[in-house]
Amino acid sequence: MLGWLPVTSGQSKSPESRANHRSPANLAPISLSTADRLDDAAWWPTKGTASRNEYVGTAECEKCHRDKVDSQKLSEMAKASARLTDLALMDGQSRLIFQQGSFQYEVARRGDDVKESVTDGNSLISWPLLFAFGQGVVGHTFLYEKGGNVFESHVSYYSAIKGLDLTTGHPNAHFIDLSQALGRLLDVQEAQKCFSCHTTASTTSSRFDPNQAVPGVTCEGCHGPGASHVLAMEDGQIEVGKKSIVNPRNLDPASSIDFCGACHRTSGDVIQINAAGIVTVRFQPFRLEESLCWKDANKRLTCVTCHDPHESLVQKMGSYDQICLRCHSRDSDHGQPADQRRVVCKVSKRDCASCHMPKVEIPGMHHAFADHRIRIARANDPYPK
Amino acid sequence: MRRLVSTTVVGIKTVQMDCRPAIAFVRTKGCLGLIFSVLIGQISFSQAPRKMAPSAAPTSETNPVKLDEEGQRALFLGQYALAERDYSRLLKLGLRSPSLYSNLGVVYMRTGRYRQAIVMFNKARVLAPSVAGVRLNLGLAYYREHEFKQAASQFRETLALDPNNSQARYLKGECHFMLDEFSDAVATFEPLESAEHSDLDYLFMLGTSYGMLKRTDESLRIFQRMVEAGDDTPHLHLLLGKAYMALGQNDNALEELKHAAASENVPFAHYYLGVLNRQLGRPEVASAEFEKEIRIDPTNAMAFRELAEVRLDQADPQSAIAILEKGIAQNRDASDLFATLGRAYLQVSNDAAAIRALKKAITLSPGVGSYHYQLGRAYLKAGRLADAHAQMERARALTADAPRGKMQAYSNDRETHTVTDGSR
Repeated sequence: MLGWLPVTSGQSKSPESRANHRSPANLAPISLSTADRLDDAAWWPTKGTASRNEYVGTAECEKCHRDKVDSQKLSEMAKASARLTDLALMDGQSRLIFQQGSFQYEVARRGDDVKESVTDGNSLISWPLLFAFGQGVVGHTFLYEKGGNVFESHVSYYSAIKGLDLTTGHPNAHFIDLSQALGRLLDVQEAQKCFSCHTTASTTSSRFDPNQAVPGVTCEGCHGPGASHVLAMEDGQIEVGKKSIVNPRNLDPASSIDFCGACHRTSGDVIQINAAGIVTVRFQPFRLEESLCWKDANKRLTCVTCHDPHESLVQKMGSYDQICLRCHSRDSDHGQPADQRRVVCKVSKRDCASCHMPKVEIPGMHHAFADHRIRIARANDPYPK
Repeated sequence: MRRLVSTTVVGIKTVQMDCRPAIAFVRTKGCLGLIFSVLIGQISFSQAPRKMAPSAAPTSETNPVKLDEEGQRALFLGQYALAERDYSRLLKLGLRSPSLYSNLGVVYMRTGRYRQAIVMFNKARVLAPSVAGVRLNLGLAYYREHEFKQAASQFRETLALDPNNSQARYLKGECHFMLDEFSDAVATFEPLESAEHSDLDYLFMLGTSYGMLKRTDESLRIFQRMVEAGDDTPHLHLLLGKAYMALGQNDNALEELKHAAASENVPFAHYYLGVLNRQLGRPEVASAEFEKEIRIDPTNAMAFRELAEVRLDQADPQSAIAILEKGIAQNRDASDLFATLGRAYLQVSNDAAAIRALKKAITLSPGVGSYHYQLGRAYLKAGRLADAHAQMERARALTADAPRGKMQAYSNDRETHTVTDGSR
């Protein structure tokens, strides 16, 4: 079993900042890094300061918010991770093989257990996998525990190739022994960050304990621990109850984007990690803020304008057209001054995103991501900064 | 910077007093940018003077020929204040020539004023675009400022003008490595393999680049070569430790770094042990290693910064501030220390002190996006929303233009001698 690991990074860091908690509604309307949001807000996604008994679990939410919970359970966020025993793994395949240099990998289900094995032809090492992060469109990355530490497997499952390949970001280094070939040790902070976004309540009271993690992003993953809310509502203290749970709908646009960016990366995060180039296509909040739709003085377009986090991602491009056409059509005069009226597309009024949000493939990921930097994209244009 | 301390740098020297002097490139041991003769006969002086020297008989302070001679002499003797004075007087007299700008740039380089050097070398480049040595020096100045993208561009131009310039090739490869551009790094480094087969730094960068490109066999071959060339020295173990860290093989990294640190007073061995232990969630061990590093080298700004970061992680900003102020007293030009100090002051809600520290960091290193971000955050906390927005925009622009590669984290020990170009 994994031990309890102290976590300090990314939590409220000083007595002063703890004393000055502000509700999300009072946050500054400017994009910040997630670390700074975590310092500023009483609750923010991935925050791990609340105690475990402040969480009530989805079943409790379901009593009053059944429709939302039912649809959210089917969403990609709810499936951000799964224990291997719960998963229809690898599109139902029970055994996969992958050769990398002199090592051969196998990921195979035997009963309820899924094990990763690696052999160099002389020896073989096999280890039970604990979690799969990601279940949906791109694939899943496997995690396992060894000696109280969390490891990320060197191989991941990719849906597009229906097979294994090296985990994104893992170098193909030479390994001295088989145990190294199995996976990469995640340092405590890195593991805590992974689990904070892919599970709920993996860190409580500032201590990281993946054994207690609830797979996937549940209601409390975004809205915060719900015990006070439930208690107040059950007591009929409706206004108190409303104030004791976070409703991101009340956030200003910059904070709203940063809220999603707690896992999907804010502009501030991108600056802090100093990322550039096509890897940033995965950081949709950051890319959205680079769009003209956002840079315009009238910043209204946020993540939730197009995406309902309680529902599965809508894949059909045309489904988003009406949102674009709210502003970019001749009928979209909302009384703005003439110089603020939006350009009307001369090419089409259908499938706007297919042209204006071109898909970009990150090498090794076997998946093309829609670039949320909305723009007039021309063929052979380089990936915009 | 270890490599530049011990290796050859190409310089430029005019060898003819002529309207369009032939310029010879000379390889000089440990000397950056040998000196132009500032006055290229009377021709250069009459080519682009803004104002002519007075018609009266010139004194030593107004005699361009004498000033040039004295400036050259001072530069050769390492009397940089005198050289700067003489060259500045020539500028005041209205002289404009690539050689004057270049020599003044060399003075700035040797006194650690890289931004001013960049300005001067750029002026020289405009006037002498086809002189490879000017491009090389400009690249070096950018390199010193960690502006690796611009540096690589200048080294590329140097190689276009002088394809056999191994110094430019080496440094270009190093810039690509720093930017995590491993394919470019490998392509640039590979032609140097026979010449540099015993250079451990070179082998470290090439082997790690192969590893990052998933070219396992080549990576293994190069690391094996490192072991053969390294002669079991602490430096070898330090490099192997860093390579393993870069490739995510922490157990091996720990072993190699401990081996390096077992020898006394090996700079950066304890530093990287501290970094690795911090990554592994062992803050107390990390602190002890950083403290050992500081005892070995009190001017190691990175060790102060990392130690302060551990304290910030531990929700102890006051200790972090004390550590950073001690570090700054030893390293007054270390922008990272000022930036971290700004963050620490923000945590104790001392916005004014945070703004001061972050402004200082930006003055020292204006091209770092995260400093502008932090200053924006400080303005935000101080209620200056417009200033905050401006800084955030600047941060975004800088990040898009100059991303910092991960490999720079494994190259901090290559920054030991940041005050000069290492030629002294």
